Amino acid sequence: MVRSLILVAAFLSFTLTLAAQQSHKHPGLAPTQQIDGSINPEKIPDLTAYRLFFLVASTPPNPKPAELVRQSAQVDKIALSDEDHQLLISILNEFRVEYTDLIAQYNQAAKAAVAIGKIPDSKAFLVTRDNLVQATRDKLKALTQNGMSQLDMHVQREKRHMKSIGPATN
Amino acid sequence: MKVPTQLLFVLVFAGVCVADYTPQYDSYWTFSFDPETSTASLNVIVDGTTTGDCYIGTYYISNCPAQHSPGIENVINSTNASSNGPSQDMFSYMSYEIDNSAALPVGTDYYTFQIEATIYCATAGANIYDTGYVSGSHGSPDDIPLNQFSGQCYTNYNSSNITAAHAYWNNTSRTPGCWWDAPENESYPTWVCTDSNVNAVPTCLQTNTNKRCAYQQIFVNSACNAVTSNMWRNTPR
Repeated sequence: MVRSLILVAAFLSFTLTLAAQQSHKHPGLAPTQQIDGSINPEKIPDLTAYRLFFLVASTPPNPKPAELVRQSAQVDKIALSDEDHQLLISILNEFRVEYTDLIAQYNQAAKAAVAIGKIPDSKAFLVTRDNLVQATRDKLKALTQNGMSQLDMHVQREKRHMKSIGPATN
Repeated sequence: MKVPTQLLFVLVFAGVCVADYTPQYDSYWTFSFDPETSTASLNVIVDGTTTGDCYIGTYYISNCPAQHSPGIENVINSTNASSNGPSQDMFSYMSYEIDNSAALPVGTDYYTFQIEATIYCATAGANIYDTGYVSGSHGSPDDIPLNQFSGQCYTNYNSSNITAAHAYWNNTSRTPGCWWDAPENESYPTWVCTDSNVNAVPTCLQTNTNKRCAYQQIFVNSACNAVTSNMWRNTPR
């Protein structure tokens, strides 16, 4: 029994050292998969695509003139009616405020946790984040049916300019 | 109780080889063009975090959580807005965007671009996420004026307030479209695009009351089939 324990301890020590040496660059990194939207746009989840579109097409509060011009040019690509155009901009900017606040709150808590040696629950935060994106998508139902269709077509097309890394699925 | 050596090895091995954190980042780049100011824009964003913890089994990974920092390359022609963002621990959430705009010479709408989005891990000493370098050109340098889609547009909506209109290729709907000058209170007319011969042109429906005079010239082949071009050209108001 003692001999077995000694062998196990030796093996344990060897394995940990080897793991540390071999995975010096990414110790503990789980397998990931990359999705390239230019090759497989259908693999970019809709929630991801809408989140990225919301972020890029929105402006922060008190936008500068150049930011307004950029936003207008972005939304113009969707070819909405004037009413849908204005409504979409309003929803986008509301999302930006909520998203910024959500991240700020989480990061403050995360920093505090790390400072006392705890690990923040970033996985739970991702669920909260996605809930916000979905809630914003639900607000888009206020657009006309044609507007919603145009918007969705636009977001689906924009997936070709998106890339994603996340947990491996196989 | 005597525990078999083999079982001890299995139990220990299972405990030390479980990896425990996963980077989850997304990136997106998109173009836009404002014909009124002849300004091209390119937005690049990287957004996400790392999930998990700092343990491999019961072993605590040294220098964990690592510091991650975003980097974005964003260049339009010679206008370079590339930048690196502040570093933060990997379990914090990162949303970093660089917007770039460049005024193009009036009458041109062709520009080159380069983008790349990365997340650098200080512990790894390498990028843990990299879109790869993407470069290319947007628009077309050629100005071939002929095509049947630059002809007249007419409407089945009666209004004496609609003035000049121009045919264009709608890159969003991938169909011919029309832009027109119209007073603000004209809303939702239905336009039909046609060439001067009123023949063999796919119909389009355009409900946009945008007052811009921009249009997109397209190339056509000898069979008069459209070969798309992302070209905008301001017309004088």
